[in-house]
Formats: sequence, structure tokens, C-alpha cells
Amino acid sequence: MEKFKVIIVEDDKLELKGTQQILQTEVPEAEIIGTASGESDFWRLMREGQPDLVLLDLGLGGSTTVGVDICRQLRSRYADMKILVFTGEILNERLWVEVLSAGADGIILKTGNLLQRDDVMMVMHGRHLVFNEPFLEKVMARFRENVCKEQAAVDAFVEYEIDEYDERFLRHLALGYTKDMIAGLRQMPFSTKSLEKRQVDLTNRLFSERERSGVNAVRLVVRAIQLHIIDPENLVADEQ
Amino acid sequence: MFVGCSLVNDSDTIPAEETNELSYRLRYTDVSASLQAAKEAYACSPKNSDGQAEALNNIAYVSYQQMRYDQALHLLRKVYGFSRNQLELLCSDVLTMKIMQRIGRGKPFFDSRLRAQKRLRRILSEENALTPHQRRRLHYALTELHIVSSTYYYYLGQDAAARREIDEAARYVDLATDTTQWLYYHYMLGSGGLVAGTPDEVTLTEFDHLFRVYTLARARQFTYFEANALQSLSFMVSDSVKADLLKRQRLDAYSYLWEQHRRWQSDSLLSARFQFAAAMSHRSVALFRQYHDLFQTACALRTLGEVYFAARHYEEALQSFTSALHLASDHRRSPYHVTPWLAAIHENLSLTYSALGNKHLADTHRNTYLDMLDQSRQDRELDSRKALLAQEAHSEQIQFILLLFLVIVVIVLAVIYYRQLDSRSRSSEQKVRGIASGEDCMLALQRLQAQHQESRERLEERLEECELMQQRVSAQQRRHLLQRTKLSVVYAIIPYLDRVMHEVRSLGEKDSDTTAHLSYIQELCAGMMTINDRLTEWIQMQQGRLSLHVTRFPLADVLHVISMQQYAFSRKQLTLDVAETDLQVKADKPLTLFMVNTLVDNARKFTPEGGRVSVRLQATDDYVEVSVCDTGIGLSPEDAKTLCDSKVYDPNRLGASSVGKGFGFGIMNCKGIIGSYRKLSSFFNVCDFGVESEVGKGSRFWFRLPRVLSLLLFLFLASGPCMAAAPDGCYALFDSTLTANLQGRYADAYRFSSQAIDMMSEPRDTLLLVKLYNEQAIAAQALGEWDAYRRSNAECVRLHRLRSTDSSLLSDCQRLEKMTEDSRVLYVLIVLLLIASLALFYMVVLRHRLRHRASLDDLYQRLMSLLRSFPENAAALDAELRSIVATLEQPQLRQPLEELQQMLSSQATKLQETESSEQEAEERLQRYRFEHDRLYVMNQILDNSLSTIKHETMYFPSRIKQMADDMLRAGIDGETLHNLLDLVAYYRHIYMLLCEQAQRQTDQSSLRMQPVAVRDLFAYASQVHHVECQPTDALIRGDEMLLQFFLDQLLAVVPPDAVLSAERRDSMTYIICDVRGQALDACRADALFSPHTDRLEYLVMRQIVREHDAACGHPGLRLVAENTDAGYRIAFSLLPNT
Repeated sequence: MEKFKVIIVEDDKLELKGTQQILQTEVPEAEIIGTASGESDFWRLMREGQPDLVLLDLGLGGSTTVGVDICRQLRSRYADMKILVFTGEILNERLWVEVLSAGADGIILKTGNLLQRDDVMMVMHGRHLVFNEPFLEKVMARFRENVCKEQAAVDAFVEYEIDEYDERFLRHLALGYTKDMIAGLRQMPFSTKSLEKRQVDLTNRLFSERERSGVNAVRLVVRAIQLHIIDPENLVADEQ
Repeated sequence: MFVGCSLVNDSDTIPAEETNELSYRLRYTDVSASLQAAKEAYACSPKNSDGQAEALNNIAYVSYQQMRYDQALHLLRKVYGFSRNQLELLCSDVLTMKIMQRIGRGKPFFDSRLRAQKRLRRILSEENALTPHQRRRLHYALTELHIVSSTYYYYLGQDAAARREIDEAARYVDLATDTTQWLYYHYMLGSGGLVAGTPDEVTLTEFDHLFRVYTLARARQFTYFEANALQSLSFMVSDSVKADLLKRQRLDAYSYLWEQHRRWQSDSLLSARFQFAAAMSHRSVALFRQYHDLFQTACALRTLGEVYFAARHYEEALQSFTSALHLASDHRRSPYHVTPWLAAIHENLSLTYSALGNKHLADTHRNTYLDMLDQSRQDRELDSRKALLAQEAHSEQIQFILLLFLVIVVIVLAVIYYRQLDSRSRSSEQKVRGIASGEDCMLALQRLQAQHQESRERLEERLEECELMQQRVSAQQRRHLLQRTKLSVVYAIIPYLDRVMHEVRSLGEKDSDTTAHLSYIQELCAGMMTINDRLTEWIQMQQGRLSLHVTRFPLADVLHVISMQQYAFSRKQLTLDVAETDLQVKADKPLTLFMVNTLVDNARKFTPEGGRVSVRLQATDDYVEVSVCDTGIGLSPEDAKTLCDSKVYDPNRLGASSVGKGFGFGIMNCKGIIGSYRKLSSFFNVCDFGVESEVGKGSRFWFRLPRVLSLLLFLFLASGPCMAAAPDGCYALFDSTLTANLQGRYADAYRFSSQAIDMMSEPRDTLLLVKLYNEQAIAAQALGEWDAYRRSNAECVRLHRLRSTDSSLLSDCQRLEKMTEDSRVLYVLIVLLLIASLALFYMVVLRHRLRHRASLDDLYQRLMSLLRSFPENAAALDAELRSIVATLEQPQLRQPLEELQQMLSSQATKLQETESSEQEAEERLQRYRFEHDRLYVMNQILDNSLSTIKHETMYFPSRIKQMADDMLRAGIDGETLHNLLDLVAYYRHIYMLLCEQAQRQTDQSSLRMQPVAVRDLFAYASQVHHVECQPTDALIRGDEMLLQFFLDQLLAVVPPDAVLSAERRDSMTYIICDVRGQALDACRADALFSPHTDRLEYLVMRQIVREHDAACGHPGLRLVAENTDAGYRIAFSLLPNT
């Protein structure tokens, strides 16, 4: 591959040295045209010459997330410039989301294998969403969790024999409908009395015998949420 | 006419008359024969005749002698029921009196006596028409009447009246006509108390009477009187003084008696005189037994016992008294008892047991004795009350005389009343109108104002407390920020560590530039060491300032909070069992709560359903051991050892099963706290922490805190002796007496009671005096001082009687009797008429007027009570007043009442408002306290965590550096590389673990974002730091407290002539601090906000900006230091408030 120009934004001298070493040894195509330890240094460098890739640390000096702002400005001024975030913020997931929204092409966490040739090259080849392994592990864990949750909802429907009326009933209870109001819904062909029976029935299904005493509508709905039978994020009433 | 009819002779009655006479004559000779004769007389008399009445009287008399009083009274009622014979009715009256006298009922006694006297007057008016038999009956009745009255007065202690009655009886006694009554009369005189004169004269006179009775009764076989005379003589002889006197003055009679009883004198252990007395008593008992008189047998046995007692033969005395009691207890089942008589036997028994040394039984009998005395006193009081009623009845009678006058007065009064009612209604209305300007209203208003004032003062106090507490919370928040800052420094090492890790791995790769890698590792290690040094410096710098807040507190306070978790436990089907205690410890209260809570939480997590978690306490003199036990899954021995011994552990690797994992850092924190106690002072050397556990059975986690003794206990011990010392006054002396008696110190008790009695020169409190004499008697009895005992007991009984004597009983009964006069009918009629006319007056006229006035009064009362209770009911006042106005029946009063309501309501509303603010302040204070404790605990634990991080990881960087040095010198081989990699990996693992533990104790959401005027911040800065500020009206979003803290930090690192200003740039508001005349050197400027900085303040500033950035959603807030033309400036940006 042809040579390309890189600016490294890093406020820690020691770390900067390590990053430089990595680039020099692993990615010989990279020509480091400058390093900046702060925001003003960086913009001065940018005026001197445009790089192909900016290796950006998020926290600079006292400004701990200034990198996000830099990234946003860079992206708005130079739409084609490659921006790879190289950060020690290994716990702050929120920040990752912010910087990706600001237009970063990838995030490399400063842990594990640090920066590798493949990551840099992928970004240079125009790939978006380039992440190193520790980052992907974290994303994967979150993903797994979500998938499991969804599966749990499916399992709960089977295990507790939940039909669409049960779900509708619980959902409307969660929305604060009274049984009379639920009985008045078009999709609920039940009387108030049979809804009461259904509630008792649901309580028996969702709670073990020992837990059943004193279970009211609120407790029942909370249980349904815990078992992912209804989704608190997605509570919408049916048409009247 | 009435009497005449009933006195007509009937030829059929002659045999009955004779049989009745026989029965009467046999009365004191042979009871059974007398009864037999009476029954025959009854049988042969025509139904409801006089003969039957007389026979029934005779049968009743026998019943009386056999102590079947209920039966006797029943028979007498029968006589009253059918007989019109006034003479027999008189006899019945007299017998009733006898019975009532014996069972001690004053009221019925006097009733019967009055009836008898009335009948007597009628009979005496026709005395000449009486037959000889009837005449004998009359004489019998007359003597009996007076003798019984005399006896009654004698036992009541009214000696004069008793003598008067016995003298009266003398007029009717005639040996020739009626031997029985003659004997009775003389026996009464001889038995004591009715003869006046010097003691010697009295003794001699009484002896003469008794001797006469004895000889005659013996000669004519009147067993009853013979036995009675012997009994009294025996008692007389047992007294040595009397016996000597008799020997001197009545030698013949004495010798005669002596000879008579010689063959009875068998008890050789007794002295001759006592043998003589005992013999007479024995004879008396035998005679009474033969005669079948229960009561008298028991009396004779008592006398015998007293003779033995006087002779100090207590065993025999006891035997006699017990027999007497035995007879008496048979009788006790009857509804009427002779209480005083029983009481006397119990007293004798008490004395005898005391003499025999059986204190327990002596006390038991004494108590029974006193109870019975009290019982008879109560009976008498009951009588007195009845008498009181009689007195009332008498006053009613006087009213009758005044009745006519009254009727007129009532009518006049009614008219006057009616007129007055009108004017009073008007004045009531005036009063209601006047309330608003009245004193009560003013007072209520004043009270309300005073309360308002008090409430406001309390509110101010609360607010001050709040402010104080808020400052403490702020201090803790600042401290917490410092901790977070330090933690961020701790985190700053991690990228270096990752770099080292990366470099070490690269070393193993082929073609790597080992020298470059190794020297980079060395540089990184140096960097880590600098950061570590800086951290150590800061931690040490603050150690002096921050110490534990040790107080003395009851453990119950902490355990109470723990026991409030019951619900959470019961939801998991667990039992939480918290010990109750009054132990006190000296420790840090919030931290103790944190420790117990942590252990209880862990226990809950690891105990399966149905288990039990208990918090137990065990105390020694030095410490209290708090243990949290569970029936959970338990720990393996290795895990328990790890928890106990090592400072750092990986919570994810502990626990026997998958459930057990995730143990948390709780135990590490607890151990840290115990460690910091021990570091604080040697007083806390007893502090300790430990774990005992068995897999599958459960665990016990415990810790120890130094114990302090309860303050209350000290107070109690100190005050105990003071209370016991120096009794003062009669009551105290009485208490001492009682205590001394209870503790068996009888000599002391006797002394105390004598002192107390002396002190009570004016016997104001008779009851106390009675009690004192009683206690004195008990003491004397226990000491065996019989004379002293008799004195005290006699005084006790005398006073007891004094309390209950009612001498006016007789006259009351007479007045009551008069009430039954015929005029009562007229009286009732007039009263009825008056009532009817009054009722008519009321119904027609008065009712409406009264209702009008009552409603006015009621209104007034309601208003007044409202005004008086007003301050307590400030909240309900408005509603109450409104309801009064709404239901008003007098429209003319509406306006003044509405004004009153408005006046009071407005004041009440003010009070309510202050009170609610007070409540609010109180709640705020509670919140601050909670917040403070929470932050305090976190800070304390963070202190521990940070110091653990420092201690446990300091060594690694230098060790890595050393290994790198060695490698540079000696080259790299596979093994050293491997070792280095292991070391770095281990270091990272431990470090991350400790960081995680510390991180858990940080409060992420502590920022309170709100609009803040920069002007206010500048005002704070110029006030506290006297710094120059440019005017600005910028408004930003932030946590004011933290921003102030930021300025504190900033102004601590810049010279005092710095200038603050605000500027809007790139959609952010910058706060700028300009410093003139100095510039930052480039190297320092770069590292100013990095962990390598020379001042902690810069890092604190960075932390504050960082947290604001996070709270605003990472807009990229700046904190920069840059050189300017004139010097340098430090600027930081915040989001403007939109």
C-alpha cells in the first residue's frame, strides 16, 4: 500500500512514545507528520498539512472528552478523513457511543493487544466500525445479554402458557387500565368477572404456591416484566 | 284494741302454753329437751296460733344457741309472717336483737330494738289484762332486751350506756319469778366490764356475782350458766393478782371452788393455781359440750387455751385454740359469722405459734386476724352508710313540713325565673357577641401567637441544624470528590500497565528490537512509580485530617435498623432473627451499621429459601462480639482461610458452587474498617474479625467492638445507697418498721415503730397509727414480749374500732322509723301536684325559652372550649368555626362570629404554615443525616481501599523495572520472559480487582445539576478568596457546590492577584482565570492536569470538569491552561443554561 500521513493526538508523552513505536514497527506505510498533546496544537498542525488518518485520544490534558468534540468538528470539515479513536476509556461505554455518533471510523481500546496493523489498514481501506478485541468482547457481552432476554420472553410464553389475551391483559394492567376498561376493549371479548378469574389464574401460573399470598395487580405486572412477558420499553395500548 | 284481741285466752292453748313454759325452763339446762318441748308445743297448737308463735320463738332460740343463725332468723320471719300477738312479736324482736348483736350487725339490731320498744309501750298500756303466763313472757322479754342492749354497747366500747342498760334490767329481775333471767343478769355483771370501782373492788364484786351464779346454777342444774360462771372464774384465777386478792378476801368461796375441782387437777407440770384454773376451764368445756352449745364450747376452749398460755404451756394452749378454731370453722360455712369471735381465736393462735417459734404460721394467723378485724370494720362502715341514708330521709321529712311554703315559693320563683330567663338570654347573646373582644379570645390569640413564635424559633433552630448538617454533607461530598480524584489517578496507571503488558509480549516476538522494548518498559515503570509516589504523598497528607468518628452508642440502635429488613427476608422465605440488647459499644456508628448490614446482606444472598439468618451478640467485660449466622451454603475451609487471612481476594473465585460466587468486596471492606480501628488507638486492640464456616451447614461471620458499661447502671448504683439512707418522718419510719419486720429485725422494728408513734403526737392519720401499732404488735409478738404485745394490739384494735364506730346509729334508726308515719301519703300527693303543675308550666312556656337559652349557652360553651383548646387543635379550628357559623340558629349573631372566625383562622393558618415548614425542615435534616452517613461510610471505605491499593501494589513497578534492567544487562531467555509476563499479568489482575472494589464505593450520581449564575460563583470567590472578578450575567448548568469547590482549588494554586471573568465562546461559557506577570513553562503546562502534576488541586479541578462533562452527556467540556501575552490563564467551560 502507498504511504499515508498520520497525526497522533495524545497528551501523555510516555504513551505517545509507545504508539509511535507501534506505528513505526507494525505499519511502516504510516508517515507521522505530527503529534499533538492538546486541542490547540492539533488545529495548528491541521493548518500546516492535512493527514489521511487522525489517531485520536479522547482525553487531552484537563479536558477529558474533548476528543469527541474534535472528532465531530473534523468530520464536519473533512468528510473523507479517516478518524481512528485510540483511547484508555475502557469503562465508559457511553463515550464510545458518543464518539461513534460524532463520526469516528473505529475505536481501539488501550488494553490487550493495543493497536495492530490490521486495525489501521482496515480503516485506511475505508472500513467503518473497526474495533479491537477487548471492545468487541464488551459489545458481544451486551449483545448476548439482549439476545438472551428476547429468548427468555419466548420461553416465558411457552413455560407459563401465556396466550395473546394474557399478554394484552397484563399490558393494559401495566398501563393503568382497570378491569372494566380492559373488558371494554375491542380485542378483549371478556366480561370483568372473567378477567378477574384470569388474573387469579395468571397469579397461579406466574407465582409458586408459597409466593402467591398477597399478590396484587402491581405485583403481577412486575412479575410479568421480570419474566419478559411484557416489555416495559414497548407498552402501547390497543385500539378501543 | 289491736292488742286486746290478740290477748284473748283460748282454752285450747293451755297444754301448748305449758309445754312452751317447759321448753323455756329447759333452755339453759338441756337444749335437746327444750327443743323437744318446743316442737311438741308447736305440734299441739292450732295453726297460726299464739302457741305456735311462742313455740317457734323457742325453737329459734335453740337454733341461736347452736349457731344456726340463718335458721333462727327464718323461724322468726315465720312468726312475723302470721302472728298478731304483740307479746310474741316482742320476744321475736328481742331474739332478733340477740342474733344481730352476736353477728355484729348494728342497723338491724337497732331496727329490732325500736320495734320492740314500740310494742312494749302498747303492751304496757294494757299490762293489767295480761295472764300470768303472758306476764312471765313480758318480764323475760324486758330483761332480755336490756341485757342484750347492754352487751351490744359493751362490745362497742360504750361502757356508760352498757351500765345504764344493765341497771335498767335489774328492775325486772326477780329470782322468784324467773331464775333463768336472774342468773343471766348476775352472770352478765360477773363476766366483766359492767361494774364500776377500783380494780380490787371490781374483782371482788364480779367474783361475788359469779360465785352466786355458779352455786345457784349448779344447785338447779342450769348447765349453761354453771359452765359460763366456771369459764369466767377460771379466767379470773389464771391472773395471779386477782387470785391472790381472792385468796385473801374470799377464802371460803375460793376454797370451796378449789375443793370442788380438786379431782380435775391432774396436770402435775402446772403450778397449783394454774392447775385450778385449767380444771375449771376443762369442766366448763365439758359442761358446754354436754349442753351442745357450739359457740360457748369454743369460747371455753379459748379460755382454757389462754390459761395454758398464761402458764407458758404453749403446746397445750395450741391444742385448745386449734380445737376452738375447728369448731368455729364448721360454723364458718354459714352465711352469718361471728367475725370478732373468730378473729380472737386467730389472734390467740398467732400468739401461740409465735411463742412456739413458728413465725410463718404466726404470721398467717395474724393476717387472718387483721383481715377479720377489717371485715367487721367494713360491715360497720356499711351500717354507717345506711345511717347516712336515714339522715337524708330525715331531711326530706323537714322538707315536708316546709312543703306548702315551698309550693308557694316555687310558684313565685317560677315567675321570677321566667322573667330572668328573658334577660339572661339577652345577656347570653351579649356574651357570645363579646367573645371576639373578650379575654379568652385575646388569650387564645396570644397563645397562638406564642406558639407561632415558638414554632418559628424551633424552625430557625432546625434550619440552623440543617445548615450545619448541610455543611457536613458538603464536607463529605468534597471529601468524596477528593477520593474520586485519587481513584482517577489510580486508574491512570492502567494504560501504562497495558503498555507494559504489550511490550513484554512483543519481546517474545521474532525480530523485535529488545533494547527499545526493554527501555520503554523501564520508562513506563518509572512513570508508574511517579504516579504511585504522588498518590502515596496525597494519601499520607490527608491521613492526619480524616479519622473515624468514634462515639459511645447502644447497639440496639444499629440492630433496630437491621431488623427493619424483615420484609425483604420474608420475601425470600427467610427468617431474620435479630437479638435484643442493651449493650453499648464505643465505635463509629455509621460504619458499624454498614458492617452488620454487609454481613446480613451476604448471609441473605447465600442462604437458600426456608433458612434462617440471625444476628447474635456475646459480651465479655472488654468487648461485644457481633455475629451474623446463617444456615446457608457455607464456605470451604480454603475460602474461609482466604477471607480471614489475605488482604486481597478475588470475590469471583470464592464460594463452593456457582451460587456462591460473586461474594463481593463486603468482607474486604469490613476487615478494612476493623483494621482502621486498630490503627487508631490501642483502646481498639480488642477489635477483630473472623469467619467460621462449614460447607452446606452455614457460616458465622463475627466482629468485635470495645464494650462500654451503660451510663444508666452507674446512675443506679450511685443512687441506690442514697435512697436507703436516713429515713425521715413518720411514713419513712413506718417503711423502716415494715422492712425491719420483713427482714426479721424485730427489735429494730419495735424501736422504729415506737419512735414513729411518739412522733405522731397529733394522730392525724389514724390509719397510719393503726398500721404502726399493728407492726409494733407483730414485732413484740415475735420477740415474745407478751405485755408489750397486748398493749400494742389493744391500742391497734381500739383505734380500729374508733375508725369505724358509729355512735349515732341508734338515733338515725329512730328518725328513719318516723319517716314511716302516715303523713307520707299527703306529702307524696302534694309533691305530685306540684310536679304536675311544674311540668305543665315547663311544657307550655318554659321549654321554648330554655331551648333558646340553651342553644345560646351551648354556642358560647362551644366557642369558649374551642378558644381554650385552640392551640392544640389549630388545624381543625377553621373547619370547626365554619361549621358553627353554618349551623347557627341565631341569624343576628352571624356577622360577629364570622369576624371572629376570620381573625382566628388567619392566625391559625400562619401557625400551620410555620409548623409545616418545621416539619419540612425536620425531614430535610433527616435527609441530610442520611446523606452524610452514606457519604461518610463510602469515604471511609475508600480510604481503606486506596490505602490497600497503595500497600499491595507499590512493589510491582520497581520489581518489573528491576527485571527489565536484568534483561538489558544479561539478555533475554524464555524463562525470565515468562516470569516477567506472569508478574505483569498478576500485577494487573490484583490492580484491577482493587480498583473495582474502590469503584463500587464511588457515588456516580452525586452531581446536582441546576442553573447557576456565574455572578454568584464570583461573589463566593471574592468573598472567600478576595479575588477580583469581572461582572457577568452568564447563567450556566452545574453543581453549585462542586463549582465552588472548583474555585477553591483554582484560587489555591494561582497568585492572589488573579482575575476571574466569564466569556461565551463556541456555544460554551468559559470561566477564565487570568494571571499576570508569570508564564507557565511548556513542559509543566503539558503535564499540569495529568497524574504527574505537582499539585492535587489540578486533578481535583479536572475531576470536577470530567464529572460535569459526563452529567451533560459528554459535550467535550474544556479545562485548559495556556500562556497569554500578559502571563497565563486557566480556563474551563460549562454549558450555558438554556
